[in-house]
Amino acid sequence: MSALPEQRPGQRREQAEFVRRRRAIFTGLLTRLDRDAAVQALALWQAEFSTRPVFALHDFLGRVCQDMGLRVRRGELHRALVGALSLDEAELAPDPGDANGLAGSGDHSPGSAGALPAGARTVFEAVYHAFMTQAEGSGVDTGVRVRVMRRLVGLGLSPAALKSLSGWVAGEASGLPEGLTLDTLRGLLHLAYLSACEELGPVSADRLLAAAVREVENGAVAADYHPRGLL
Amino acid sequence: MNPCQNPALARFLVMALCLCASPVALAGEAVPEPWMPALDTVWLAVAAALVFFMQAGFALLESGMSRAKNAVNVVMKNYVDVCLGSLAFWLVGYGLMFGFNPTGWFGQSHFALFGAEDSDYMMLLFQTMFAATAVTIASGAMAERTRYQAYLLGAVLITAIIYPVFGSWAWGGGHGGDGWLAALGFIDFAGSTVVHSIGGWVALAGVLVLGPRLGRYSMDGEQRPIQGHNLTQVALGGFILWVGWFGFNGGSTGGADVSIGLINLNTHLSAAAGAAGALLILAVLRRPVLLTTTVNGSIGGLVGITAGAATMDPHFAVLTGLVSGMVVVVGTWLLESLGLDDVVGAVSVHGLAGAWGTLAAGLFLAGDLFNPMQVAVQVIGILAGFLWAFPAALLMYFIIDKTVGLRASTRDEQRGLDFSEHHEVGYPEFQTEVLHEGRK
Repeated sequence: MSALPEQRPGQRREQAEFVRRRRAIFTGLLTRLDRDAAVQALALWQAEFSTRPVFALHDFLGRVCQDMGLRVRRGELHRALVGALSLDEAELAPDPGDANGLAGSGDHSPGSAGALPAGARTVFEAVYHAFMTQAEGSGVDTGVRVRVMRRLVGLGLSPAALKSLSGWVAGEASGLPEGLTLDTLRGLLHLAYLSACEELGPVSADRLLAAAVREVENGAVAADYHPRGLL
Repeated sequence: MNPCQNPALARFLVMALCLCASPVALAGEAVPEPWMPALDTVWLAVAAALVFFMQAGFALLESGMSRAKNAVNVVMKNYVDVCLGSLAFWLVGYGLMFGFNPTGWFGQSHFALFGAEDSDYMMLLFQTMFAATAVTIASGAMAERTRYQAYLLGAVLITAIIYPVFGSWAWGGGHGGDGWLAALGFIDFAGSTVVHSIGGWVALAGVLVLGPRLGRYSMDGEQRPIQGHNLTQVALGGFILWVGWFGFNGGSTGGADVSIGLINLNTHLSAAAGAAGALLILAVLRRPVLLTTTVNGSIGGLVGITAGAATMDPHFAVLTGLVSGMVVVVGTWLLESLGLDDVVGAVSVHGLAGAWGTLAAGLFLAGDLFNPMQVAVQVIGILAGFLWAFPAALLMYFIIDKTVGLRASTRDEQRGLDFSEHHEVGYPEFQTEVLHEGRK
């Protein structure tokens, strides 16, 4: 179970296309924003817009301009992004993923793209553990675990991070790997929810998640970081 | 105020009393010429308000059948599709549907109506309510996983194009010309096919493009029922729809008329029989009797009688309703067995029961029962409705999905669309299963 799930050819193509689009968006952002702002905006794109159709670029621009106070520059930013999306691969900026802690995930809330908020990691482990304990009570913990592992690739992590996270999900490594971002943790919890939906149905999955969050909310670890921040 | 002290008020009350107490006498005798258009207008205005009230019924029923985390989203879709749909219908739809129709395929005048006759304005208002009904049918079927903006884009296109084009075939020609189905003698008095089946086929297309909600079916096809969050709300929605239907069918006379008695009696009997039909088949199949199925059965009866409410006798209205209720149950079971996820059962209630009702209007035509020619025309109308609305809506939703995105992300489905689309929750003090308090 601990072996890293192999990617099918279709998945590899999807991953390559994802990285190419991420580089293109990053290239476009860099023409108008400084590097930190571009990384932050890219994290937003990755978290909420990367799986949406092409016209969602307008929504993405709207969010970036609103969050960063760039409304007057929306037009030029739009032109830059559209231009970058049509560039050849050789003209694109290097993939910023691993070097910036993005590693296939991102988030728009402050601090989430890089450093993990204090206490978030401990709270995540508590919520995930409570969720899996609930799943075990329903007799679906193995099924949930297997489905989560199959989906880990979708988090867009580097191969090394993917391997160590896969070991943790399988229960072979005791500690959660270092260097994960808040959005990766959110993504992982969402994968557990999705898997529970498939195993038990959505109503039961909602209840499992609600029960797990409430259990942690009532514990001491919630004083450092609110569990609902992981949802 | 004492009416005796106010002659104008006294005259109004006497007139109202006469209208209420002796409609037969009014219609039977020669009515003073200036009164009749005004009376027609008053009745149509009341009927339009009743049809508009159906929106409240749809909103309650659909949100009640959805989970609490999506309640605001469902109601917002119902609320805003009426608003945007009404504007689209005024701008484009009414002209396509009722404008001068020389070819029989679509109207070509009366767009963005202004400077028209009073009767045109009344007609536009009444028909706008019908268009709003047609468009809102899809919202329930597509609930809990559709992006708000994408849904509204679809709603505008339905009221501007898909609904009125078919409407022009069956009802067109109000300002010259004739729809090709109307010319064949197609009977659809108040829109079993024109309004309801068209809405149902659009809903079917939306459901197909969207796919089922997360976890609704397991990998091996097992069904996971997702209960609605408020069944009393569903029942209230059903009652409101029932009330509204008296305006829907009764107003389709086009004015104050003594036939409204039969029309609304048929409407009521068919609704009652629809619920009875659903209960009957549930009992025969030894399935649990559910409130949602019972309410859907009665709405199926209302949909079914809509085509023939003015042209069949009450005992046939009962039969129409009874079969409609059964069609709703069997249709829902069929769709579920195909792995389709229609949250409120709109496809069977509106699409299938509407098709049956249109057929029944031909079969049970008073004075010309079971006329094969009439039945053939009805079948042509039913098929034409499906072959127009379903592919058109399928293409529309497919394009919307590939451009702006129709389906919400799985994370939004987890959080609930109230959070991801509207930044608020339906029941902030009571929603124990919802894990957020709205986006800040």
